Amino acid sequence: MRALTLALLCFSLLTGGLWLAQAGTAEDPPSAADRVEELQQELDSLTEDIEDLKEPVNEFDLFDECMYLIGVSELGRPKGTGYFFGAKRRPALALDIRGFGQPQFNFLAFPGEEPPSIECNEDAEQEFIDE
Amino acid sequence: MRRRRQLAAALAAALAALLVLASLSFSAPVFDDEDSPWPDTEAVKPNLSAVQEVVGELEEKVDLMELSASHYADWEACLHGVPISEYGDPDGLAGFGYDEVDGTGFGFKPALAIDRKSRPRHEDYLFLDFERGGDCRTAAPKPGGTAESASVRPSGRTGPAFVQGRTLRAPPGARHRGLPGTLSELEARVEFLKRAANRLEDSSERFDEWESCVSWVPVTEYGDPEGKFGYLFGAAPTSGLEYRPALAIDRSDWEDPEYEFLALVGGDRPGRTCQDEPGEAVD
Repeated sequence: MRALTLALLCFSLLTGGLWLAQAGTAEDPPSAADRVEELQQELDSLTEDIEDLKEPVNEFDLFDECMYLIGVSELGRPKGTGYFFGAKRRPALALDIRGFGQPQFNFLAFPGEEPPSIECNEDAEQEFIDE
Repeated sequence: MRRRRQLAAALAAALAALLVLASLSFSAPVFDDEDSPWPDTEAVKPNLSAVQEVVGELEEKVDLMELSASHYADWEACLHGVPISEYGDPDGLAGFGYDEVDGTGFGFKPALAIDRKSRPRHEDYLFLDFERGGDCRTAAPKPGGTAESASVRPSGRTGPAFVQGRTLRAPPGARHRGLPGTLSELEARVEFLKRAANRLEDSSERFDEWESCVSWVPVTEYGDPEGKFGYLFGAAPTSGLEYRPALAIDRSDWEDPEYEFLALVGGDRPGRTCQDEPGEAVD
């Protein structure tokens, strides 16, 4: 009888504990106010992230604005007509920007006067100020 | 006695006013940032409107950034390296025959040529050529012009930050669904914004890695395009001799080079080894 009482007590304690544990972990679906608040927090952090991206992304545009393509072709052949290189003939590269044909290559380049970022920035800023 | 009462009453009133002020400052919501876009209320409707507005603004910003990133990805896909080396001695002891036709006489000068012999990454420079064809295109250089800017067909593809067929904007049908629908739609848009920001970050890191590996190579064309002086060019030294211009590394201390060509120098490759500092000029 004592054992049965003890067993019943243990059982009730266990089931009660389990029920309490379940009740503790089960969550109510978040309210609309909670969801809005969570969105606001996420947007605060996202706004910062996107703000931080402004400068690196501007680098794409700067590079794109400052970059030139220079038409270059190889002139001459190793044998036959070519540039004099000792006793041999050798091909070499020359600008190909004057004719109507397509150059062999379009090499990426920047104007030579100043470091490109400074030059392009200065021009852009000047135009803006003039307006 | 009367004065004492008045003084006590005044003190009590001042204390009460102080307490009211203190309680007000504790109960009012505190915004550290004056620029906070969120309204000073806990009511759902005005907060939801503010969230909608902020999401819309961020979408506009990200749209523009994605356009830049997608454009970069487009032209980056059109680039390929051409191995170039300098042949000849910069001190003029050997190299290509050159004559200024100014009375100084015939001499030697180095020039740039395609390097067909060196093993990969053993060339002097890997110049970056914007390839034509496919979605990549450049207009034919105009006579008398100096250069053309690169352009690509707006293909609506590529771009690490671009996802085909998707837009940051929510579909119109997703709107006007009541509060739960609006919240779900906003949550989805914020999730998409987060992914777009991650893609943009990846893209900018990749660009930074590429740009920091690229060097500026000072190049000038020596010789007269009209053929009055320059490098000796022809079939044989005795017949059909002409003067032609050619490109060479500009080592001049007193004049700027005509161009700074972009190149990977000495076997540098983005993502592997970069010997030079970002954007360093090669002299």
